[in-house]
Order: sequence, then structure tokens, then C-alpha cells
Amino acid sequence: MARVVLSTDVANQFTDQVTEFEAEGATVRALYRALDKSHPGLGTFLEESTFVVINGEMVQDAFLEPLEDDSEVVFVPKIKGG
Amino acid sequence: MGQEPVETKWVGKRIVRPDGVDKVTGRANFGADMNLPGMLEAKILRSPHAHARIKKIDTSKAEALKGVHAVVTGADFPELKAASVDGGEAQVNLKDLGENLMARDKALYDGHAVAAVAATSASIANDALDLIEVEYELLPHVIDVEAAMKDDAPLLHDDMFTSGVEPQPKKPSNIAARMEFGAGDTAKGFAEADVIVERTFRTAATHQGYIEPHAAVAEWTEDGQSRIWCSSQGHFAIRSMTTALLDMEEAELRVMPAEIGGGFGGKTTIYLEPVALLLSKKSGRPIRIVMSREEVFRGSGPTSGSVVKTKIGATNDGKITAGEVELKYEAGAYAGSPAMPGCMTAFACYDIENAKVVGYDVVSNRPKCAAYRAPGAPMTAFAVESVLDEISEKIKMDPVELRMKNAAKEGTRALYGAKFKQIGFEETLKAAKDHPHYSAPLGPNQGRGIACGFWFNIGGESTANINVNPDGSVTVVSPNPDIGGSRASMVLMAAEVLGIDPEKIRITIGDTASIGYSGLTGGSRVTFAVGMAVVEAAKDVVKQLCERAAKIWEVDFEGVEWRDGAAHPASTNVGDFDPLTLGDLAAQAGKLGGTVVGASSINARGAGPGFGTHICDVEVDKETGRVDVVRYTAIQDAGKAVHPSYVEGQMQGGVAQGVGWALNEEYIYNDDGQLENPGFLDYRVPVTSDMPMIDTVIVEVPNPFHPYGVRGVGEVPIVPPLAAVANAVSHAVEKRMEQLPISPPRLLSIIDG
Repeated sequence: MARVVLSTDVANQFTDQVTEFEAEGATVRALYRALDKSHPGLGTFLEESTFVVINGEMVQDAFLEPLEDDSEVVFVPKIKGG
Repeated sequence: MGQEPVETKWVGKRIVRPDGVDKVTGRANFGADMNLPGMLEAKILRSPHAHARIKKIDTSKAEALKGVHAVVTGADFPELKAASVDGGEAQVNLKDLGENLMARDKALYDGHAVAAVAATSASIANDALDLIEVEYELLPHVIDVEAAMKDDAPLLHDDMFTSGVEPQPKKPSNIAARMEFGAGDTAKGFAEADVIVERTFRTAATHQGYIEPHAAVAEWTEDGQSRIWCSSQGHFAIRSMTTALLDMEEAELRVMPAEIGGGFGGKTTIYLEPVALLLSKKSGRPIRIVMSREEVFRGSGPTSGSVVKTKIGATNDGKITAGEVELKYEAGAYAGSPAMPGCMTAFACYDIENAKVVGYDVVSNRPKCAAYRAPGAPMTAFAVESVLDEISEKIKMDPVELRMKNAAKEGTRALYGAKFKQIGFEETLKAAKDHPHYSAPLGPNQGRGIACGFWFNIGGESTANINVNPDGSVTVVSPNPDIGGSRASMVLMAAEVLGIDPEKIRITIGDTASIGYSGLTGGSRVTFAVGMAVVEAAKDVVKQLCERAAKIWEVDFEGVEWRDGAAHPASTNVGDFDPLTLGDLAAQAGKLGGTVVGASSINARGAGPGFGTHICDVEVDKETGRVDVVRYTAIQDAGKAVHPSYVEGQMQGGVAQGVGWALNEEYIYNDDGQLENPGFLDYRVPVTSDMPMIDTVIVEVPNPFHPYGVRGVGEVPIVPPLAAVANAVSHAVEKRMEQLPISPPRLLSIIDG
């Protein structure tokens, strides 16, 4: 079970303000699908709108990145620089 | 235990820049320098109104003018679809992009393009613009961000319903989005505070101010081989946006990168390219469009003006107990201000248990804002760093010490969610405190300010090719325009891996047909991300060379190692062979299977956040209100400075832009919503004589996810200067600066009370 961390905004919209919880998923892609099941629309929203930070490493978009049981997966809004 | 710096031979050296001679001799080709046989010049007609319905456009008289070959309006473009398109860093709303490029039903700001003419000369094209008759129905307009948020404000888009609010409003408004980040309990945190400071800060819209105006040359062909030459921060994004707007396949358009005369985020979008290509299609001739400086100001994106309300509480011993920020950012005529990164960066320098940030993205009748160096971050840093400065005064604590007590470090979870790995913020604070500038005495009417800043830095899709030439020299092909010295950095990293002198390596920027897709040159990502691709491509070359040496020596691949630019036996057990240099192997390439070409395509991960601390001294003329920056020191964690001169240049450039933002630059509108200062005489950017020598200190705390420890460096240096300057002025006049720019009349009115 990976530990998922969401921003306040996303939690307000999809998870009844819960910002941290555990979810199944052997890869980031599988996690998206699992989140879509547990919180309809959440996985798709995260896939389209956020970068992924796994255990403190900004991996941005990484569908096939494997997740371990103790992985912390943080979703942060996509960042546009100048 | 953090990652130790990597020992390097070439990375970190100050080699001569590959583009230097071309630029100082005038040989470099910028966007406007391309000439094609039969080329026409094009000009764009722009709305003089801030908000108007376009009832009719009659182009017949313009089309009849001798020398005019084509006229286009919004009606000539394919119908805009509700879709998004790749913008190089993120998806872009195609409908907004197209309407901003050329107005359809409404002109939404003074300077909004409404038509374009191609003619045999620029003067004929300008004459033809005067012959285009546009019937406008004037509509009420709104410029100010807070006025635009009011219930009764003139509405720009009747289909804009604020996102991020549950339930979503049914009434349209100019507030495109609300966003929120939070942690802990701010009410509890403020209750624990001994001192609370709350203020509202305002910044003006400022332009990126690049020297080179936007320019594009386009040639449409009927056989799907159209071409565009332009200067941009990412020709792959220019291709995707242009083809999406003109219903073309990406393979039908080849975009050639020109040298770029500054971008700072402002050249990450399109203003001219589809217009030029459509005019070319209509006229059957190549087209060149070059913006005037006035058009750059009126028609291309500045950054957002902002209103940022900030409240911070702290104990008397300097612990920040709570912080709140509410920010309102001008997006211009279409949604998409940098309110989100403004929220995310607001408290990123600090470890604060109880914090809340709310942001609003607001449209008004101004040009659509574009990215500008660390988009959104300088404004919130101005607010937060000013309030921290005031708190340090109130609790009588050294301002660096206050920041040190609350500094983010490895393990700190930023309010936006990510937990930091190895970062160098504390090291920049320590370097500031130890710097002679920090303890130097001040003169009369002088003040000193310090401020800090943060930027995420990003990675993303990146490619690189390395061709080993028959004589042993090497050509690197990079996919990204070089704005801040990336060519030199790529050469150094390739030299490091290949083990050869950088003098043996030349680098070129590939066009969209000659190398695989790469994201924008932006977000401080190129030296980090494309650099990783170059490192991977160079490793690919080394692998192939070692494989060939193994075959020549008839030993296993594992028996060969690469060092000092040559294959060597990995140990005496492998055998006694003379080293085979890169040149030896390149000379025999044909006999060994063909030319050695290294290639890499990655989605770079592991971008390392950057932090900076700045010290600024100003002197105030209390009779005129003029502020002179008399000494400035910028300190920044670069992870590893691949080419230190370029890192220092980035730091100095960011400071110069930030000083302009703080002291002079602002868009000034009249009551009709028309921009009154669209030129460098009235829009005052700092010039060399305004600036002292900007001292720089590069701190190197390696990014553990990069082979040499590199972090991005281009964005951070514009984040602290607004507050550093404002804090310095506040101390010089003993009154807190809440609004930028601190121009002489504004400062005089504050001094006079």
C-alpha cells in the first residue's frame, strides 16, 4: 500500500478533505486506476493535472514507475517555469 | 549524510562560450534575420480598445492597395476547438490560445490582434492596416484585479465559472479559479504567537523586457513541408501550438530555432507564427513578421500584477507559529496567471507547522500574462519576506537568524506537499551572514535589506544526439534553444563523460525534424534535464567505443574501461594492450560497423529545488524620492555550477530584473484602458548605470538525483530582489514599503506621509 499525499485543493474536491491515505497500486498507472475506483475522477484528475513526487524525488510523469509498500506518493500541481 | 560533491575534470570550468564570437561580431542570426526569396513583410492591426465587441471587419480597401498580397482576420483561421494542446511544459487551452492570437468576437485588451496584412514592404503593410475598417461596439472594461473580482465588474467571458469552489458557481465571473493549500491549524498557531504582523502588498504588471522583439518567418507549402524560423524558448512547442491552430499534422511543419535575444518565460507561447503561416498560405509567398517594441508591450505577455495579503505570527524567540497568505493575480484577458506557483512557493523556504495559502486567478482587460522567470514566486516572496523583516524588527532578532531558525531543510514537507531531500537553503543563509557585505557599515540615508527565495526547478522530456566524427572530433545536437548558456554546459558534460577536451566538441541546436521532441527551455530545466540526456548520450557513445575496443582486443566487454578519452584494459589480467583513443576508434569506424552515434531520450526526473538569499543596500534621496542600489550580493545554491560564469550571469540578470520590478517598472493604463507607456522611454528598466556590481556567491549542495549534483539556477535569482530592495528602502526611510514599484513619486508621498 503506497501512502498518497494530496494538496488541500484536491482533497476538498475528491476525498472529503482527507489529504493523506493509503492506496493500492504496483505502479503509478495502477495507482491512478485504483484512485479512480475509490474516489471517482481522482485518478484521472491527478494524471492530467499533477506531477508525481515519489519518496522525495520529483519524477513528474512516470506511468510505469514501480511503487513499494512504503512508497510515499505526493501529487503536486504541474509546475510551469519561465 | 548528504551526497558528497562529485570530482570533475571539466564540469565547473569557465570555457569560452560557443555562441560568443557570433554574438559579438553580429554574425548570430536572430528571429528577424531570416530572408527568403520573394518574402513579404506582414503587420498586425491591434485593437485600440480595452473591451469591445467586433461587429464587422471590412478588409476590402486594404486588399485593393497595390503591393498587398493577403489579409487575414480571425475568420480565416480554422474554428477553435475546446481542446488542449502541448505547450512544452503543460497543456494549453487551445481556444484561449487562438483567440489571444487573433480576436474573434471580442477584443479583450488594448493591443489585441484583430487582423494582419502581408505586403511587399513593411510601409505598404502599415498603410494597409489604416484601410481596414473595424466596427467596434465599446464595452465597459476593468483593469484592476480587485475591481475585476467584484460582483458588478464588467464580464470578459460569459462562460467563466470559478473552478476550485464547491459547488461550482452558476453565475459567471472574472475569477477563473480559486486554489488552496493548508497544513495544521493557523488559528491555534496565531494564538501561540507573541507577535503577529499582517499587511497587504501590491505589485505591478511588469514585462519580461527581452531585447529582441518577437519575430517569425514562415513559408507554407502545399506538399506538407511548411517551415517556420523563429526565436522562441521551445520550437517543439511552437510546432505543436501552430499546427493545432491550423489543423495540420506536426510532421507537416518544421520549426527552425534562431538565436534568441532573451525570453525569460515570455517566449514560451505564440503570437505570430500561425498568423505568418496563414498569410503565407493565402499569398503563396514566404512571410516575415517582426513586432515593434510597442507591440511587444501591448500585445505580448507581461507577468501578473498582484495583491497579496499576508499574516505571520512568531514567538519572541523567533519561531514562526503560523502563516496565512491570500493572493490575487491578474491573468490578463484569459485564465492562467501564475497564482498556483505563487501559492506553492509562498512559504516554501520555511518549516511552518500551521499555514494556509489561498489564491485567485483573475481575468481583466490586459494582455494575457505569460511566464516570467519563477512565475508567481517574486510577488509572494515580496509579501512574506517583508513581513518576516518586520517581525525580526519587532522581536529584535537578526533577520538572517530569524530565517535560519525556521529554514526548510532535508525532511521538511513543503506546504505544496513534497518532502525535501538534500537542499542548500541553510547554507545560503550561513554564507550571507558570513559575507563581508552583511556587516559592512551603512552611510547616511542608506538601508540594508535581506530576503530569500525558492524555485522548484523541473525536469521533463529531453533528448540529445552525439555524433563522433571520423577525425575524432565530436558534435553534440541539443534540442533546446540556448538562453542562458546551455550550449557551454552541454559541451562540458559531454567532455566529462567522453574524457576529451571540450575544444574537440562542437554543439548545435537541432530543429524539429532533426532531433526528437524536447520540452521548453524554461523552468530552469535545460542544464539539469537536457544535460542528463547529454550525459546519457555520451555514455552511449562510450559503451559503443568500449564494445569495439573489446572486439579488437578479442576480450570481454567487461574487460574494457573508458578513461581519459580512451579505452584501456580494465586490469592487467585482461591483457597488455595499448589504449585505443576516441580518435583511433573514430578513424576505424567504417571498418568496425559504421559511425558511432550516441542518442538519448529521457523524461528527466529528480529536479532539485533551488534557494537563494540576497543582501541589498540602497541609498534614498529624500528630496527626490530616488532610490539607488549601492551594493548587492546574491547567494544561491546551484547544486553544482557546470559553468560558473553562466551561473553568476543568471544570478546577476535575475537581480537586475528584480530591481527593475521593485523600483521602476509598471504598466500604466489611462481611464480608457489603454496602455500609456509601451516603450522603453516610459517603461523604465534598469540600465547598467543604474546598477552596482552585483556580487555573487555560488553555494554547492549537490542535488542527489543528478550525476554531477546540478540544480536549476535561472529562476531563483528573481525571487528575492523585490523584498530585498523593499526591505532596504523600508529601513532607510523607516516606513514599510507595501507597494511596488517604489518609484520616486510614490516614495516621496510615503516619506511626506
